[in-house]
Amino acid sequence: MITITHFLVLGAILFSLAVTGIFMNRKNLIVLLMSIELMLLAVNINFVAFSYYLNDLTGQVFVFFILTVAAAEAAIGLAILVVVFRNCGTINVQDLDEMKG
Amino acid sequence: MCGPLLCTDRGIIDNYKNYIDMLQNYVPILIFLAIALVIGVVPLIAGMLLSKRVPEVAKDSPYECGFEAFEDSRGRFDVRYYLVAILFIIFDLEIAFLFPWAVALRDIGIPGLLAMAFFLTILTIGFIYEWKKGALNWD
Amino acid sequence: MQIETMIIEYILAVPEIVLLLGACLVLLTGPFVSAQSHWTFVLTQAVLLATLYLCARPFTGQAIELFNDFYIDDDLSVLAKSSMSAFMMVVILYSRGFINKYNYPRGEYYSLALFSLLGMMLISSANHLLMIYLGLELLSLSMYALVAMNRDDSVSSEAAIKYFVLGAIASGFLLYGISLIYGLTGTLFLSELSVENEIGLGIIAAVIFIVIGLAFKLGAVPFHMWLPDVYQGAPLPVTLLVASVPKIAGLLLALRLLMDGLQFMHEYWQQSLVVLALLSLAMGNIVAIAQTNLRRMLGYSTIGHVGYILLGLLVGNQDGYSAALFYTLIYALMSSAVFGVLLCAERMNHPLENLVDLQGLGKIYPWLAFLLLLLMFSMAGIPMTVGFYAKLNILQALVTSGWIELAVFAVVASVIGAFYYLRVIKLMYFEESDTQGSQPMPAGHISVLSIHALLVVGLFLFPQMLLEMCKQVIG
Repeated sequence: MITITHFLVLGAILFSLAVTGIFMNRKNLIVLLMSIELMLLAVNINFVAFSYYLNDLTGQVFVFFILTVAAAEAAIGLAILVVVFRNCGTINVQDLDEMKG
Repeated sequence: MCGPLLCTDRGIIDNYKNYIDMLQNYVPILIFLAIALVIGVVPLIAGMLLSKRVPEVAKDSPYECGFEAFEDSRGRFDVRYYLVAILFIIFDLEIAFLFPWAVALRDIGIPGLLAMAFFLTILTIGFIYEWKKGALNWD
Repeated sequence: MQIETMIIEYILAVPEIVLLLGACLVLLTGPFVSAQSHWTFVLTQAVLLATLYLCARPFTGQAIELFNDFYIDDDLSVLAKSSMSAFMMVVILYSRGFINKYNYPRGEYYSLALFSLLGMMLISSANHLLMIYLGLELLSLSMYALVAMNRDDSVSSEAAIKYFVLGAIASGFLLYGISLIYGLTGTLFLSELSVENEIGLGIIAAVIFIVIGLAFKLGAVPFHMWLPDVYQGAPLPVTLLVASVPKIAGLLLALRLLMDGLQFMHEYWQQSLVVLALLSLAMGNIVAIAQTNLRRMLGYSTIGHVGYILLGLLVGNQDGYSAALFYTLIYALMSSAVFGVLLCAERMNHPLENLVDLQGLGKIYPWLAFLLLLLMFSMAGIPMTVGFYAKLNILQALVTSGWIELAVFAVVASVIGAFYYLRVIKLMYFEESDTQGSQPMPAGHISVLSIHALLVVGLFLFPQMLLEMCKQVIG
């Protein structure tokens, strides 16, 4: 029997994976963008599970908005990524250290 | 005291029955998946087992319509692909709002129609902007 | 009947609708109107003026809920919206010279500024967590694009990607908290949030996630990493924008979430805010001393000010909230004026990028240096400037609710902070520079800037009205 706890644990695992991915990743900015996307999807799992168990559609509407906003966010992220690559010639996270202090 | 298998609690068993009922709806999909798997995998395996193999340089090189291969297939993409992808992803997903709207149109009536017209107008303004900016030109 | 209520709802939302249409129009001037035209600027200011005119109204003490209670129109939102539109007008005015000089895409800069203002207005009127999220994203996405606007500069694109990644993480944390709140309370309306049974681990976790998201957005230590980089790396007009108006929106976000929504969890979020405030005060004021880049130093100074704002919030009663609101308004005033000075100097080909560039400014541009002196006094919280009242209010709210240790810590932190503000003054007046030849000041810019900066003295003499307003809108 699958209960809400299973969904929540799945969401929590995905969310922690995403956060770990963001903070452990030192190589590639694209992986960072993927982790951010994973983070939002973990939230979506939470919302859909709650929405189903509360018998309330609001959660699913929220998921809709998160998905579309995440698309806009990904678009802007990719655009900034292209600009970074043009200027710095790299998308390695460790090489982005011109500013310090 | 009863073990999990001997438990006679009605609630749990009812829940379990609902769960089985729900799963039964998915049986056609399971069958479909199995057939798709068979159709996909059997010819490959048959080809591997039944064909005669004579390795040769020309045969092993990647097929490029008769030309020599220009470059490694894992090369970098032109940055313009990214631009098209960025523009596509926004319009692609915003259109997703049309589906729930279409289903609920009867209930939300004229205000809903106007709201969607307003939304699409704003989306069109974005489209006009990127068109005029020349973001859709390849060259 | 239904149609009537609908019309009333739309009439109350007219400022936002005008702003949205105006922003779309300004966006379209980008490709359609010639790049030399001044019409984009005029149109932007007209839209902002119309927005300001439409949302300013006398306080009524009532809250009207619109659009199925998603949207709330109360005194707090009126004060926030009108002050944000007014600040945005000043910001656009200061930015104009820089934008023209370096030929930045005008339609894009102005329309993104307008869109970010729209996002901030949505936050200030939100009564539903979905509205909060959408407003926040509209604000943040515009800001990311603005920071990356100088496409040929590697420093600014690096700042943009850092801002983007950390901002997206913040949204993720906030959303995760919101999803838990939704599951545990069964509603997303801010005014309906509460738990029936005793407060469990789940809701505490949700509150912590939300506070982390807020701290990222406000730039509180230890979630401040993006802030100095953005201040240093972004084009100067964008830094001006980031440093002024969104601070008010950040506070409104905190007020809507913590005051309107999660007041019943006060004792739990209070503890997290204490930690954040202490770290921000210490780090902001100490690390700023070590900076050589002026904008980076101002970034750390912002972190210190955020610490003060958090102190006001954590008190959690009317005094605290109104003190935080007053502080934020004053901070936005000072910060936009400081960057106005920087932009004015930049227009006269005397860019103030590093602290060294300040040397001898008192001789070359005495009036500009005097204005900066007033602003530095105000930021340090020295009497005769309104910054003093802002800090005093926070301290009073802290002491009356028994947080004496925190108040003492805050005073010590601002004494340390005074050191680097006074260093700016020392550099301007007591160091010689070989740079010679002053240029005529841009008349419009300097006259608005003078009034703007002299307000910090004017408000010291007559603070009562603003103080009363802040108290009234919270009540």
